[in-house]
Amino acid sequence: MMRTQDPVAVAFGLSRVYISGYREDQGEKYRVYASVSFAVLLLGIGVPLWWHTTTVPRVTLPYTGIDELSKLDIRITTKITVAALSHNRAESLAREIRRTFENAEIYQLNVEYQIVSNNLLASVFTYHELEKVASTFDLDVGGLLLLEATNLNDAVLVGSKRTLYFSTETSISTLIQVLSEWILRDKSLALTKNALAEPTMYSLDEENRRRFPASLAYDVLVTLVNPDPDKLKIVWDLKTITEDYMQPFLDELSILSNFSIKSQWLYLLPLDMNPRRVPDSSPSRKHFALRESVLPQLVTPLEKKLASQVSLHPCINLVIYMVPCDNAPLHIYTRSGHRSRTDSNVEAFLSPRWGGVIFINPSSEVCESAREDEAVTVVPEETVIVGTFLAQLRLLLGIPEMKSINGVTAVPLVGLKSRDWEIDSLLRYRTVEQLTSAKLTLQSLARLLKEISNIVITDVVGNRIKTALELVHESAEHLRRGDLKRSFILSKEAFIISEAAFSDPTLLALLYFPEDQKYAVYIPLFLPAMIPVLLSLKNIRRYYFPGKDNTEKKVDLRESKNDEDNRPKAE
Amino acid sequence: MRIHLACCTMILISFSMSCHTWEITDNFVKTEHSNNWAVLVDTSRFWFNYRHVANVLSIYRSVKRLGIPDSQIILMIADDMACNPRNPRPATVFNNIKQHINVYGDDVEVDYRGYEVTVENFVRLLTGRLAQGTPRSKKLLTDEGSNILIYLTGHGGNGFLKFQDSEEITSQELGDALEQMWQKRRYHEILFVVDTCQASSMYEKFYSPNILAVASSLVGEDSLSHHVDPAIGVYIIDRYTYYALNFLEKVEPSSTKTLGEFLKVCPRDYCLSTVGVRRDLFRRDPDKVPVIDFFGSLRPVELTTNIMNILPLKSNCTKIQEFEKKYNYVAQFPEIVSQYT
Repeated sequence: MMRTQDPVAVAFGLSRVYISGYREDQGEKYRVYASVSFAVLLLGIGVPLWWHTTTVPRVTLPYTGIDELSKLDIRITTKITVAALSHNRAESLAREIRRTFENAEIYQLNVEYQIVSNNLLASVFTYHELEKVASTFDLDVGGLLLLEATNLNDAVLVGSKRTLYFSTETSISTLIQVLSEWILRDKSLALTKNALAEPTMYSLDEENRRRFPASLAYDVLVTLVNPDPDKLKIVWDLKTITEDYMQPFLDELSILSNFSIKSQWLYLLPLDMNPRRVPDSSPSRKHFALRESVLPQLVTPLEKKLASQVSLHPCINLVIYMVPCDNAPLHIYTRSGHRSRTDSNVEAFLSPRWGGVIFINPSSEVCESAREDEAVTVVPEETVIVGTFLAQLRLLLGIPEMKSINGVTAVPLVGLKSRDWEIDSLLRYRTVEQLTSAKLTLQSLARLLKEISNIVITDVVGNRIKTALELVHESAEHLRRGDLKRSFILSKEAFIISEAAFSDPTLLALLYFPEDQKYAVYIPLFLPAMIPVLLSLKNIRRYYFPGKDNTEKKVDLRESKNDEDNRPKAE
Repeated sequence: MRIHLACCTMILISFSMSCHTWEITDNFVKTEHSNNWAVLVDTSRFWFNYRHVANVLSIYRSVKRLGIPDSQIILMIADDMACNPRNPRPATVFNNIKQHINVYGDDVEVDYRGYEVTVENFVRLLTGRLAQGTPRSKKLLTDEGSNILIYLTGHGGNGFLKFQDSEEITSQELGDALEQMWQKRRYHEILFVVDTCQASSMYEKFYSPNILAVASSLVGEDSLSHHVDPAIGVYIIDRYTYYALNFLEKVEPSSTKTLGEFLKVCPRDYCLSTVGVRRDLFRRDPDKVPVIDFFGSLRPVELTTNIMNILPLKSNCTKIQEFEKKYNYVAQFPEIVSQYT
């Protein structure tokens, strides 16, 4: 019997008494007005207000731009100048190099050739004179010069700048091998990109696993461990030595990132294992053996005490372990059971993405001459230690050792500088790595934001995404144009900004819960209020658009008096 | 200290026995991870949840013993049982009534404690979206070469795990967080272990690759506690973790035990619940993966054979000579010389 009752009126307890038709009409009017105002209030103001206040604030993002990133082709344009004595040789070399690298995944070579006069090179004998000739060519960062020289001992001599010298007899294949394996490293570079983009398809190679991941800054922490200070007195100015030798080396690489060097002494930190005693023919008639296979177990106990976790940047640990006389001399044995042979008798190893360790044995004379209760004074040889550390640093930062190629030599490193072409190669790696990483970060962020609708996107994050997107495009553009340095700097910025956008704390302003939980909250809250309002809409429509059901309505109205009596019961 | 000594003696014994015992299997060289991390979470507080703290400390003890440094373990514990006034043996948490192992050990580094253990902090930790200025010890600084062990314990239900008494993490949230980690290349492989009631519901919504998930019970089952200690007055450890700890105690950094064996630590008649395993996301065969890949931390090494030749620097000559200072006492009273005498 409740069917004609205005649901709003019922819900809000409005009562009516109607006697004559006129007042009935009047009442009807007010009733409808009331329903209309409720409906307007709830549906016109309430719902939009609720919608507005509960929507997740999201800035519009350049989704189409980010989608287009998948088509972004990272291609490095490199200018190679071939300078040979005869026109034929220059041309054929240039043609051959161009042909070989035509299908390289990541390179686009711009090979030019020139002819140098015989007179210019005839009087050139030493490497320094060659360098002088090479310096007359105009070379940018990333560029390369192949110069034919007459008086060379090797097939190919790789200079410390950006020049390769080759003799008149050198075959094209050797030259291309050097280019591909040492300098351009096209395959490894392509793998770096692919392993980042599709980790399930490609796995990282040794070099990639060894190299520290890209970062804005690194700490280099040099630690000298003296396990037994009672018996071992070490005379060494660790601070000055690290500053004098490490700083110039790292300054050369300052374009890559910021390096800060720290040094510390640690005392009373013994090795967590006992090396095996091996008798031999040396004056002390024994040495101590440490197998290569147990070295991993040495790293972790060391790591616990190094306090390398002080700053937020990745830390490159370099540890000098002074072997006490009781365990000296200590030697590392390889997996095949031989002593590891090094060119300067250094017992050292490195752990990828962690750092390096070097064992320093005191000389046997010092140990033997020492009395039982007396401290032994040891002066470590600084060039050996620093030389080892720098070799390890080069590997850890991503300058790999060159695989030997028959007849090819590289000019040995002078002083504390790395070769220019090595740094160029590192720049290429880092650029590709940072660009790919920034690209992936943006893509995955866009995908996540599409998938998870509860993530808030603030203006800051939105701007960062836009900036990073622009930088990625700009950097790739510079790379295509052959401006390696600029491209690297832009890619670094893109990498940092995209990282910041992804890990912005505001992305987690709301926790991610499934949509159905929202309805569990809203339905009991709003449905009881909404049902009468929605039903009253029908009455409003009937009042303003009296159609075919007009007669029926009058009958209903007459019945309304009876309803009035029934109402308390119905409730 | 006792444990430390025990470790040392164990290592010594293994050395004296033969050199073969301390060799690392070739398997290790083949894995592609470069570092190990552990995220261990106890989500419940109050004395009657003593067992959850014992659970998480058991795993903490094991990973630490097997070599993961504290800097790479994120330990979240919602309550401090060792220093609770109701603890009859302060500063200890034992894994069984016979006080067999003090899982509290000598040094426990808790990274998130008490009311810091929230769903929000946990998800922030996983996804790396922490506020600026968060100390390094509270960050999960993993990269694409990291193997992560995630261990959760607390009270759970179908599809959620309760944090403290106020909120819960749903399996959906957890799945989304892990997917974000994968997208951002924040892990190489994950071993996900959860010890709660209806634990297997927690991993049902995972969809990211390279995750091996283990749960102490299936949906519809309860995970039960192991035994009660009358001195403490409450249950002291959960069954699944009790047997897991038993197994892990036998693992050494050099041992060849596999994850396949770890998955079988708690058969149904021990646990009284069925241990659930989800393998479809994991690409390797658990029977061939060493336990150490997740519970230990062995960094690969390479011998350095070539070194850089360096000429000694001559510039050291400008070193400033430091004079040895001699200290002596300052006169206690100034000498007063009168002008008028």
